[in-house]
Amino acid sequence: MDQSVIRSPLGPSWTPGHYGTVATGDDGSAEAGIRALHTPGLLLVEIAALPGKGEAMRAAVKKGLKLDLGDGSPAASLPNAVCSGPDRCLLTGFDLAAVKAAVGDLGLAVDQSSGRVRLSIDGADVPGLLAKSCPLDLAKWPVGMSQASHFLHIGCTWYRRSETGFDLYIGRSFARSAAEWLIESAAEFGVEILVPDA
Amino acid sequence: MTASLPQPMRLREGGLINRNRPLTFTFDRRVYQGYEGDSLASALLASGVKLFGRSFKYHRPRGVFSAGPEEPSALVEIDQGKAERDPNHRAPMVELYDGLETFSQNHIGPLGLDLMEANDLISRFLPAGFYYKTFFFGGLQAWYRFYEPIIRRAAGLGRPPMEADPHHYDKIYTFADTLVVGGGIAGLTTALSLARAGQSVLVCDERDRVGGAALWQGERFDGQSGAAYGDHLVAEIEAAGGRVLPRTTVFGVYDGGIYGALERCQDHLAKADRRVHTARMKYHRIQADRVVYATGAIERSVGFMGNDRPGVMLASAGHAYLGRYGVRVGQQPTIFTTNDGGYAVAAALAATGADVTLLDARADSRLEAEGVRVLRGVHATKAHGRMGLHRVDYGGAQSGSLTTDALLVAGGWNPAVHLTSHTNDRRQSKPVYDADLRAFLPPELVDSEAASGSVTGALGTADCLASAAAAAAKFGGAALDTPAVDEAVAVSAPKELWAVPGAGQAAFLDLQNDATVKDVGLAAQEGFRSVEHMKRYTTLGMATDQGKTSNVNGLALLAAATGREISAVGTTTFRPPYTPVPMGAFAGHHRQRDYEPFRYSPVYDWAEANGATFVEAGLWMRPSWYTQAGEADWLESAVRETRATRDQLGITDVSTLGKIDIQGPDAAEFLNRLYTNGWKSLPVGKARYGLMLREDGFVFDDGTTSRLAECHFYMTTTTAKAAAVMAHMEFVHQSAWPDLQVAFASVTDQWGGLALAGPKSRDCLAALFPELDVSNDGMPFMGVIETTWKGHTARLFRISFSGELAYEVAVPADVFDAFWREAMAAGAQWDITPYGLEALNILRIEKGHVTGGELDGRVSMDDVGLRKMVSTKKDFVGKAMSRRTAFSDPDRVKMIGLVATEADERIIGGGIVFDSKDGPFDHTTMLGYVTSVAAFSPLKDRSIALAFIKNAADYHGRTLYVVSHVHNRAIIEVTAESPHFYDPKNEKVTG
Amino acid sequence: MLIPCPHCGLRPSEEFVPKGLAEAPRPALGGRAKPDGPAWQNYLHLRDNVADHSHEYFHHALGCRSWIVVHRHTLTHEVTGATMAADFWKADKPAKGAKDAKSPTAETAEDGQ
Repeated sequence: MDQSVIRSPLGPSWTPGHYGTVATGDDGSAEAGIRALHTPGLLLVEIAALPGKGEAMRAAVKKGLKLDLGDGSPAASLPNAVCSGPDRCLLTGFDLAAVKAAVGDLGLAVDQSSGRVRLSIDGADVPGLLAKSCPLDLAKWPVGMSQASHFLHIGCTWYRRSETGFDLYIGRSFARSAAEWLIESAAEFGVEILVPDA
Repeated sequence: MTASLPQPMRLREGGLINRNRPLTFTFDRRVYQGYEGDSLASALLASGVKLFGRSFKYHRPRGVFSAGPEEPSALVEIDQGKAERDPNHRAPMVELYDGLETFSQNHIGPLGLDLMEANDLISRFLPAGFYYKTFFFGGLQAWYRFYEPIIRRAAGLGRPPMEADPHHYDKIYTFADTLVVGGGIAGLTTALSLARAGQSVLVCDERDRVGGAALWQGERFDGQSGAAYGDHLVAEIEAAGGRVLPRTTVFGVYDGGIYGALERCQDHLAKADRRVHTARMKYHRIQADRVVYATGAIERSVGFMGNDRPGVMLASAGHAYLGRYGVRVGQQPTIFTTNDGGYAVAAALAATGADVTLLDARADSRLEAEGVRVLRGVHATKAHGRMGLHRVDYGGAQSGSLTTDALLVAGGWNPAVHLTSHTNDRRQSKPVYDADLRAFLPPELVDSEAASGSVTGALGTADCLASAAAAAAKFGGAALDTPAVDEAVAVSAPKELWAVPGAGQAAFLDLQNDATVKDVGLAAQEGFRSVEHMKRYTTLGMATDQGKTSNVNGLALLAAATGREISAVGTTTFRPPYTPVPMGAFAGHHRQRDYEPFRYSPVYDWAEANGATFVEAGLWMRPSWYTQAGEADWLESAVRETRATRDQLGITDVSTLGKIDIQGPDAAEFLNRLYTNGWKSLPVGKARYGLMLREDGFVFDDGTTSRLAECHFYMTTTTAKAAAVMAHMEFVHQSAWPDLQVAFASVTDQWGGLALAGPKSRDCLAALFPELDVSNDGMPFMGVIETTWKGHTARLFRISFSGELAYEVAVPADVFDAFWREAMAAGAQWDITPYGLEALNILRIEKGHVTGGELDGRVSMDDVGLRKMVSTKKDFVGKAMSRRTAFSDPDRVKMIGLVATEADERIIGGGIVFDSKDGPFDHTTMLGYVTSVAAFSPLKDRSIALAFIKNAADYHGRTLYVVSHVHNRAIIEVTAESPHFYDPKNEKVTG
Repeated sequence: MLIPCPHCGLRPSEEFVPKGLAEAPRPALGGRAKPDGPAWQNYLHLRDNVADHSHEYFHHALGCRSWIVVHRHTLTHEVTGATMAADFWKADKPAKGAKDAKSPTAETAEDGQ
């Protein structure tokens, strides 16, 4: 597959650097309350079980992809297998053929590598950004749980990686607006757009 | 520092102000000085200002009436340029900062010499209901020419800003186990108890500093001042994990434990100190399991003549200006009280050396206040002094007249019950009148609600603390040590006195709307017995303050005038917001270009760089046309693009089409039920046009669906209906056929798509995919090929919307920009021409293809000539209702094509179709209407259109007339014909 | 207003799109048979519009995409529970206003009857 023809879904406003309020750290360097990262070219496959086949599909995924989706609830999500609805999941890092082979005729498997954009945010002020942008209570959101909800009224799936680390899966055509709004909303705390690893 | 400006009414000491930090500000362009911690009202009062503005209707001079959010009179404009002119700020709520510029409102000419003051002289002719009665005298013409302009000019509350609000606002989702509304000592006490019990507690207080009335009443808690004790409680709450938000007004209570609150983040700061990236205000949408109303109480006045004069104010206000700001509102003040509360402020003022007289309406009171002259059984009858109070007459047990410069009225307390009756989640949600306390109390609270402090009707600090403990106990709060309270204020329920005997026209109830005691009597006399009707007839309780100081007096007087109990009259309905909220706060981030997100195609950047003008189609930004050098207007560009497509080769972006991936053994059965036509026989590698109906039988959407494998389909929908089709499929699958073995996912954003159209499209496709056989045999009409492009999946479809030989190619959106550029390069030898929505529209109208303009939710399959799409062998969504008899009514309008007779005339979109140009052009003669117009069709060399008319088949070949009533009844002559203007036999697309 | 999505938990109404009352099941597929007019009329158009407990379809559009049936009192807006639409017509319909263990305020609604 020719990777050189892949283009970023985000607009020119998503350029690595510091945006918004500048706080100065102990060593005099600029500190951002939020760090944000987009990884282009991520492999992403959506799976959904046929009616009544949820449990069987999860067993097949466990066997074929070594992913334990537990009972299929949002709380049983994994960093690379995020529940986005009943018996429905977004898998990252697997190619479509491997997922198809695992799921078989128990459900749908469809490539969404271009269709969904993953933005990752982390930092002490991430709770402040989330309070501005989604209707979810952090106190009732354990680490490792996904939530299908919205980001400033753009439908999305959230995943809590750590106390202050979250992944945001959003439709590609919305991603440019979402990225602009993320920067604008995070500016109060200062935001650092990170350079993805090569 | 600037030279010190005089503050004659400021005491040498006292108050919670920082005398080391003087602040300079202006009011009506005059420079004044105050201190950090002052409000605009306290600083102006300290400087000796009495006149703050003019009233709404009569333009009477008005001063400041209160020291809180209930202020009806002292409304000011804060002016920082055209866009930031912000009217109707309540002076007691405006925090002073260096450089604050304020203006009085509602006068023509200087504040002291308002030209509209004449309204007051003729006020007897402008009673309640005057506005409504103007409709009767002189008829409608008199209303428009005479009354309306005068009323508009005379009545008003400030000037609106003239430009878009430049500020940024945020909406914040805030969560708590328990929300405590009000940071007085009672609210803070309840909050601490709950926080100590492990609950996440949020306290919202509308003022800049917590403590409530304890900031100025003078009581002490374990020897500490109210301010110090409040700060202590806040520190303890925060130590227990709770949060306290000052400057945050909870303005509404909504269903299911949702509360609206407005936090003012910037307005109190000097301009230079405002944080660039912080919102001016934050609208908190609070979700809490429980709520404690600790909203306090608002003092009320008594109706008597001239009780609106500058210098007449609530006793609590005089006390607050003294205790909190060190401002003595008069050297020779008079207190007029109906209860024990008036004695405390009298004593406090006397202690500063003022010459204080107290008029106690009760003959039987035995209370005394040190250094205060008390007259018992006496009430104020009339206040004198247009620009500032100088004398008050009294009557009752004795009568006389006093020289005075401030009149403080203590008419009793109204618990701030507003929030407790916002929702309808209990059967009896109206406040309840307590005849002993002479006050409305909160209705019976549900399990998730409690009340703390004076909102419960508690009078005095000890009672308030007892209610605070009771509220905490209801929610399982931890036990707290009760502080030793040194009560400063004697308290009692008031004597029942809503207006003094003989009070009439100039005895005001609602100072903001100039509603008087006489107006209420008039309303009752004219039959407005319901308190809601009285409110609307007199305007008592309307506008920015919503009658916080006037409602109860008004309804009590209505009760008396109509011979009913106060409890039988009841209150008007309290609705959010409790105090005004800027519209911008509700919009939050979503305004102007951020109102909604935009959706961008993967080739947006290419289109923008190549001359595209975009149109917002739903959320999508779509190229409308591509301007080339020398082109005068959009039509020239669109016609060039149309011709290039018909003659050679066009390319357009179809990435916005809805796309749904459908898999499972019942996938074909599912499609059979969704679409009107059959799907089980569709071979793998073929596409089919499909038509969907709504359950009620009307046409819903259309598109092509391809069979990629036995159990795998790829559906496309129109751009406009993509989300609706997805939701519809989810609905019928989940609600009607949940066991059907099918699963589907939206892949709209996964695929970028382009259409190659025109005689050279096959050559171009072959150049892009040299290894494929795309000949008419290798890829016949409706053929589908799945292949790869540079290792990425590519799907080729031989389908046409333009009526030309055409193909659509879909590749993953990530590589679509690169693929598009390669297609442009491959097509260069045939002058490949990108075309936008305008050309697409001309092409499809020429072909007679329907889109949203035709499929508007009112058409049946017959109306658009698609009855042939129905399979009789199966059931499908909408089939039953598509057989309703009305759908076969010959009078139904059906689709037809129209061609302008004159080459230089454009058919007008939305025009009405008639068969005669003689009129009348109305519903009795109309045949139908135009749905889509091509301003110019290269095929017909003139304007063409699609229209819906009655008996359409009878009109083919006849002359008709399109009339636009919104264009001066312009009449365009047209000829009717089949809507399939171009290649009706479909030879181009199949060849 | 908060809606207890069976999959996602308690969510604000802004994430949902309402469709209307769930009072009659969709008439069975008719095949070639003449459709049952009154059944369709009932399914599509006839609603009791009660001032009482009701069952309403909501789509969790900005969420898990489930269609659910919300049990709501039309006078008080009290929400006493929600069922997946996929399960709603399968089992016996839950009695209107039946107590739902998830709803802390279920009892007050009954008391108010």
